[in-house]
Amino acid sequence: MSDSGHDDLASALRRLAQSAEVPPLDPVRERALLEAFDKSQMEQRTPAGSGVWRAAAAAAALAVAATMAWAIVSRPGRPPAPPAVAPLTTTEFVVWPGAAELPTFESGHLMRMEVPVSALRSLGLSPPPSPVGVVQADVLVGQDGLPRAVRLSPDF
Amino acid sequence: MAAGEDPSDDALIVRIVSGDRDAFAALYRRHRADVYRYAMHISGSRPLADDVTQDVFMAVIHDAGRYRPERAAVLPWLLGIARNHVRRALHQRPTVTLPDDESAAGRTLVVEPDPLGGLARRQHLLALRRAVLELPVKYREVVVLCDLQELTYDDAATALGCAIGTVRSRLHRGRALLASRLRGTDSPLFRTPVARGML
Repeated sequence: MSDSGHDDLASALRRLAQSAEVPPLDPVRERALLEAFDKSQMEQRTPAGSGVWRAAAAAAALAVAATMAWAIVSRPGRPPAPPAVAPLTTTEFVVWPGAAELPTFESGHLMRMEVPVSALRSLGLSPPPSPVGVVQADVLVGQDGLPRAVRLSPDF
Repeated sequence: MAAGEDPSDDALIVRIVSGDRDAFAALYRRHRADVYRYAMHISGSRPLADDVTQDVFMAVIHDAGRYRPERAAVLPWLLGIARNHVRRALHQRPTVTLPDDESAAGRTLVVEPDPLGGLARRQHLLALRRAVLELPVKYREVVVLCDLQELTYDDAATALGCAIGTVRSRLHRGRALLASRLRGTDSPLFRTPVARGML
């Protein structure tokens, strides 16, 4: 292709570029994008919020574990403490040891966790008759991440 | 954003990442046409170009944080995203809709001082558009980016994710193929002195 041919082709392509019509701004499409943008921003904020819940849950789990560890470790050195409430084999909630001193329960959530059978009595719960090592328990965790009550999971 | 401000593309991206809705709208309005034209020139399909434009800005919503100003300007970055979407769309529905006179432009009533000349020019452009669409995609991309959208070789290389040398060689080859196809067309338009002179 000669130089003039090249120039002609280039100018023809420029005319082609200029002839390309772009449809006018479609408000529906723009609105859809802006809504998607808003949704994306909300989703980005939500994980940060759920991070607070995760931290609270982790704190609750830590508190539960610490309580159970204390109950297990301290048992040999002292006589078995009477449970705070009558032993239960039902699935009713019993007050978590020491929860009465905590701030008033306002809101919270349930955490299902595995609890050693050996720790059940110290929590005021009766161990199941079957010889299992751990059972599932539902721990009611308050707004501050501290446990308030516990029960054996109905399907333990 | 305050009225009268004309922030750079990079500044808009920074604001978008921080959640500025107006910045996103501004970027969309600024570059929507560039993305649409690219998709349209590559695919020849208006619906596909519409969809790709929407997809590109959806990608901006989710991936603006991945934009690196030291690696690319915003427009080549957007066109690089568009390129991926067009390729994927063409792979899924490879039929290319060629533009025809049923477009809105073809139905527009205009009064021309030289109707025959105007008709010849329109048909000429149509033939050229068809020739571009018939180029292999890798040549079509560089011709569209460099000749139709007037990106620099550097920016075209960024959009295509290849070396500048590759852009140069593909552009050279693409133009040669284009010229060859236009010369070989059966259209009487390209046997006219005007058309021959163009090449």
